[in-house]
Amino acid sequence: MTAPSRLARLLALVPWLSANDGISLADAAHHFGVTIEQLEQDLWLLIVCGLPGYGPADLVDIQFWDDGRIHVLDPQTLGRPLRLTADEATSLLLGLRVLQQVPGAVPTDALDRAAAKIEAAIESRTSAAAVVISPTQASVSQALDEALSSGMALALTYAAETRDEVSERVVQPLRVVSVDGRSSLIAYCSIAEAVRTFRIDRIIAAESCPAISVPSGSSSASLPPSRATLRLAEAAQWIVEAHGAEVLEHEGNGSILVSLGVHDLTWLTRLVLSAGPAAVVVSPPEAAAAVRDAALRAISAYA
Amino acid sequence: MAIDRTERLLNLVFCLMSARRAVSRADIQRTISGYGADQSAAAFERMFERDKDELRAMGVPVDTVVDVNGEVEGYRIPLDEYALAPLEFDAQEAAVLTLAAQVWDDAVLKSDAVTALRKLEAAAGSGTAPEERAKDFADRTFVRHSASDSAILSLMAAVRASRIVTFEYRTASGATAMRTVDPWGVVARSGSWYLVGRDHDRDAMRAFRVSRITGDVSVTRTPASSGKPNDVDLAAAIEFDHGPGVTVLVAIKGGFGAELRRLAHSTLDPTADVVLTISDVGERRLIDALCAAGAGAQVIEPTAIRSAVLERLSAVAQAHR
Repeated sequence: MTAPSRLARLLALVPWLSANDGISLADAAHHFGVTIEQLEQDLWLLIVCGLPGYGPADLVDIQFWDDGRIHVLDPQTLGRPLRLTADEATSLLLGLRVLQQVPGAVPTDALDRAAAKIEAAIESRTSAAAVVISPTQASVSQALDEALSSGMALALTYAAETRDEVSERVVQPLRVVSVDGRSSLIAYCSIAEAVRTFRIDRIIAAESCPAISVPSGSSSASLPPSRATLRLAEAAQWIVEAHGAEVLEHEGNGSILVSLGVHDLTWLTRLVLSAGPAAVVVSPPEAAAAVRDAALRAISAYA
Repeated sequence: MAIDRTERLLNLVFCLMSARRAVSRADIQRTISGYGADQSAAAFERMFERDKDELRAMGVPVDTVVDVNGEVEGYRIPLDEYALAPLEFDAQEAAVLTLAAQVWDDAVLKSDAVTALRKLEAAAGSGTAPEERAKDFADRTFVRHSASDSAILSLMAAVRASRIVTFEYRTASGATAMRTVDPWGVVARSGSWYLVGRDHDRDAMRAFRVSRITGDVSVTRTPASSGKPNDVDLAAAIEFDHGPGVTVLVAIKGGFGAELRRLAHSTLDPTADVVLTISDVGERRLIDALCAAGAGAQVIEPTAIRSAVLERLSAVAQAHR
């Protein structure tokens, strides 16, 4: 820990402890993301600091050794927190922006009010950063908000990702999960009679309907993927990062051989058809044959 | 070392904040614990200069007070400039802020977000009660985003200061080269962070994946020669270029073409054969989706898109012979 980052914590610690008189060492350590030992070292350091002269009345006075609870008796000049730094304000505001874009997460009016207050407290208005969350149709977002707060079920029209099929089903929403900008609805599905994950950007329509009961112990399961080897020319090398493929070999002509996890052959076929001839399935042979057949069937459908 | 560095910095903050008048360098060396009243003037100067810079870098306003002759009289920290103005948050706002600080998965933005939250709580005089309400929301939502690369913070600082940055960058094919960029903004999509700005060598807007920056980002002292034009949308700048928007008429078989039905915002019976119009979708993206649908969909018009799809499908069949 460098001296400046420890100092930043100490400057924040004193006013926060003053506002939370009697908090336990364990809770305070948890809130600042440090161990109890580190917090105690911070407090021992604080109480020997203060104004020149360094007599008893000149020092910070914090009591914390009696019952594991912390009482700030004299914060000296540290009664109020230091203004937010640009990094701090940005980190918190970006967090709010992420929440704002996730349907069903939290009340948007409260988000807007909180963001406005922080923006008013900082001088720099330059927004140096942004986070993009996969967009959701307004009507879907609203239906999700309502269902999650009221406990209603939803009738979903859903475009599955792996197979190119649209399905209609009634689900009981349990939770919205958003990781790295991809938002999903975790819900009990009445057709599968199990908990399923639905990507929110693939929900075509959602309408409220009466709640359905969720059997206890419902859980979801997924199979481990099998693997396919692909040769990717430059134009198709976005697949490496987009689908987490593992690069096996760099070939002389700028092409690479990669190993790709495949949950479903239909998905792989669709991926290669959309990527065009820059992506070629090398193995297994049945996957290459499936791609060729799908392409030929599509061509003859035009005849 | 007689006294901890953090302790010396803290004592300096207390002294400069409580003083009604500027405190001279001589008084700082003589009275503040940690500066060694008996060390050489040169050693003290070095120590004090470094401390002062460090406090300013943290956002502590250390004012230099100059007398009528332009001589430095001393230093002070004005409380009204130091302290966060009192703020009030209602219970919902406080809960939302608590959740916002929990969004970041990695230390890079997380520690700053948490410090910000603790400062706001202290300024509001509120306790830990919002945690309880935040739990209500957390039961039905789980929102996380990664930000593991410390270059994100340097790049954001460069954007704010509008300073040119240089870094070594690795392309998708593995070649590395130095890049010089006017930084316009930092954007995250699907867990990846990008720097958007003007690439000096290409004299054009480019997006750089932060994870492909090898080594440190150097934030130069040179002001950026361009700022973000008003009509540039950072989020759009990292979108794949899907080409100009086109409209197609497409026949889709019952039970197939889910992606195309979604692009058409169709709520018609998905098990029925349909003819749908898909409007204003980027040409490349649309062709990708039409090819992916395979025998499940046929373009009726325009002819140019129909030919492009057939050409791609033939090339794929050829490549898998």
